[in-house]
Amino acid sequence: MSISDLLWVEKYRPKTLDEIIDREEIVTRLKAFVKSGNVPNMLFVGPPGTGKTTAALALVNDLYQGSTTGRFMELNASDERGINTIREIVKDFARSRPSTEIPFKILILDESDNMTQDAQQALRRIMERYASVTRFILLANYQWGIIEPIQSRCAVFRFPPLSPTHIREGVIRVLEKEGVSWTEEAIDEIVKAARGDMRKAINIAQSAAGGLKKITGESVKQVVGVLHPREVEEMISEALKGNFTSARKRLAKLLYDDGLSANDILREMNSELMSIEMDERKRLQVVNALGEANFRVAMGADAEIQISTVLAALAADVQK
Amino acid sequence: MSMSQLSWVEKYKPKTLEEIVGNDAAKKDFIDWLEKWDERGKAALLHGPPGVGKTILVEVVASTFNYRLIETNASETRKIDFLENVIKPAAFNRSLFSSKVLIFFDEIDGLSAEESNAINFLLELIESSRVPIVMAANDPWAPHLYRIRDKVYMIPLHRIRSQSIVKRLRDICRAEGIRCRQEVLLMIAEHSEGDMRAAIEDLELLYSAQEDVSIEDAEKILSYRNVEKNIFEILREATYASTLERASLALSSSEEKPEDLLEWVFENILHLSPKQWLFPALRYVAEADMLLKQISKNSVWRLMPNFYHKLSSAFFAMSQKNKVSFVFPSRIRERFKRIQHLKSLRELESFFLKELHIGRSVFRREIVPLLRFLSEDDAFRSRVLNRLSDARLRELYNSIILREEVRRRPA
Repeated sequence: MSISDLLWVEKYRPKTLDEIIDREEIVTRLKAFVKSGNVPNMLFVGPPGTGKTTAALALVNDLYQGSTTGRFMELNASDERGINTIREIVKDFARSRPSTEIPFKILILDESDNMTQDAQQALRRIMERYASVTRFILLANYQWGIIEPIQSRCAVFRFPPLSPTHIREGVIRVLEKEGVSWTEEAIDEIVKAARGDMRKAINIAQSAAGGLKKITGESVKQVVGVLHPREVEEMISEALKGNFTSARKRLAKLLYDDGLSANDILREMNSELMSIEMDERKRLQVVNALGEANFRVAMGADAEIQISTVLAALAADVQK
Repeated sequence: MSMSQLSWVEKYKPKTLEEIVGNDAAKKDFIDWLEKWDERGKAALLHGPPGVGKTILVEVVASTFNYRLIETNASETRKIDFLENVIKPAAFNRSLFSSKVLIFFDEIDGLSAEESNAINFLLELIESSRVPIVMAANDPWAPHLYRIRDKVYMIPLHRIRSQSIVKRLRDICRAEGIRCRQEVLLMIAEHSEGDMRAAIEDLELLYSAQEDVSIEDAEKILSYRNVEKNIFEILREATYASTLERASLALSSSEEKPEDLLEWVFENILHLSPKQWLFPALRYVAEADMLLKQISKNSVWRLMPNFYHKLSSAFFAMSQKNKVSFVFPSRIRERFKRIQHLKSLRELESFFLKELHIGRSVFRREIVPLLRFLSEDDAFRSRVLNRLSDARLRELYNSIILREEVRRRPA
């Protein structure tokens, strides 16, 4: 038995393109590829929980008519073993060319926008060299994280956040299958917290139900904070209050206990800093510091030192 | 105090113009300036590397020409009440003193950019003083001194030639009754890089330990002297150095690897800096961090002096410093533990990534909290443990996912 049937989000992940109910346009195009027996290299772009992985896996399933073993591979692109791993796998693919009517295998690269520019250049060459035996499906949160030469070699599919109606339908479908009852308030709370992210919605629903057969608005509210603690926001507000030491402790937890990437933290700081209330001159000072940190971390500088400097900018008085 | 207790630097301090070695042009320039000075005249700025005789020149000229010297260094120049109560009266009320007065601000590059009060005071004084003012600095090109630079007559002093240093050292040896080897004196002189004060200190160090110093002994002791300072002393020096150059020299003499030195400075700046200076100080540390990464990535090691400059600038970004004892960097202490933790996290996640079709960042941000929460339920936890195929995975699950105490689940 696999771990995946313990988590609803995996247990009820659509297995075929037909099961995907909320991405009509994309599904239609993908079905056309299946019908023709050929797929191009593809880039799926969109925020978390919008069905990129699901669509890729369903495509693979339909293309190879359910017998997918050995025909595709999922890799995390930000893996530190990096581009060499990808090259080895693709070479392996080339050696064991399938004898079926579909002469290529598929490589799904998750979090491709976390690859360095150098790695992406190398990836581009691999894509060209092994075009006859491998098709790539690149998954990314941000299109601008992918270098232009790769974008132009891919069919780009956009996955915007799901509408409240779709989230609602998706959650209710899962709850019905699990035999869990719900209140309207519970569903409303889930939709509100999920913000177009289906994975988040279903995870909240499962957590709120716990071992029980019923979810309420109250039980949903209680789990939201635990599953999605606003740690970056809290770190920022501590620094703003001048509690630099406490802000630094939170930073260390995010980096070293949770193992979050500096990019993820900086990205969240970026969006928080624009909305949080503060003196505009101070915002300028902080945003400048954040820009420097962003750039330097991308160039290989130390995450803790760079982000600490942003926290110090938050804690500091405005420089004259 | 008997003479023997004085250091040689003090004991053999030049008393006359003739005894001052080197920099003849600057000597003449400075005397000319002083003799021609009237109330509309400019102030003078003597500048040059440490130990070339800037302070001595001012002191000897003052005594030779019967000036009463009012002398201040950077730490006194910072104190506004000292400036108001001692310097101002001297500059404007000549009747206080019977003789001619010369005001001397030593080490003005020891003032930081934030000490604009002191700099403004200096500017005002230069404009209106009724007595001549002379200043000295190692680095007159420090950005925050630009307003002063425009208002002064600049007199450069240069490193002292090795021959001149050797000659002076030989005189001292003769006076001390020491038989010394020519090649040892030459080595001391070369090693000092034109810094007379450092050369005399080294001479005293060598010959206070033994009577006959061989060239090998000298080599050993002189190189040892460069590196013997431990990291705490180095940090202390950098913290209280009066000039950026001295702070920078102190840091660059550290035997720590540059990336570890960065850790030491980062951690200790956090403690040293009062809140209001933390941002400017950390900013320099962050720049040093970036620079170091670029230097080692591109192997441009000749840029290392810039790294030390950035690091020492962090100390100068603070106008006041907290009184603290220096600490061992927690990041070095925790490094091993954190690497182990990250390895375990990766090991566990490589299992989940295969099972769940998710990316690493989703696992860490969403699935770990989810598993933690759901695992508070005994039934769920035992179902997970049943599905973890080997003991190692179960161990990782226990340490990473269940590390927290079981919270009460909402009813």
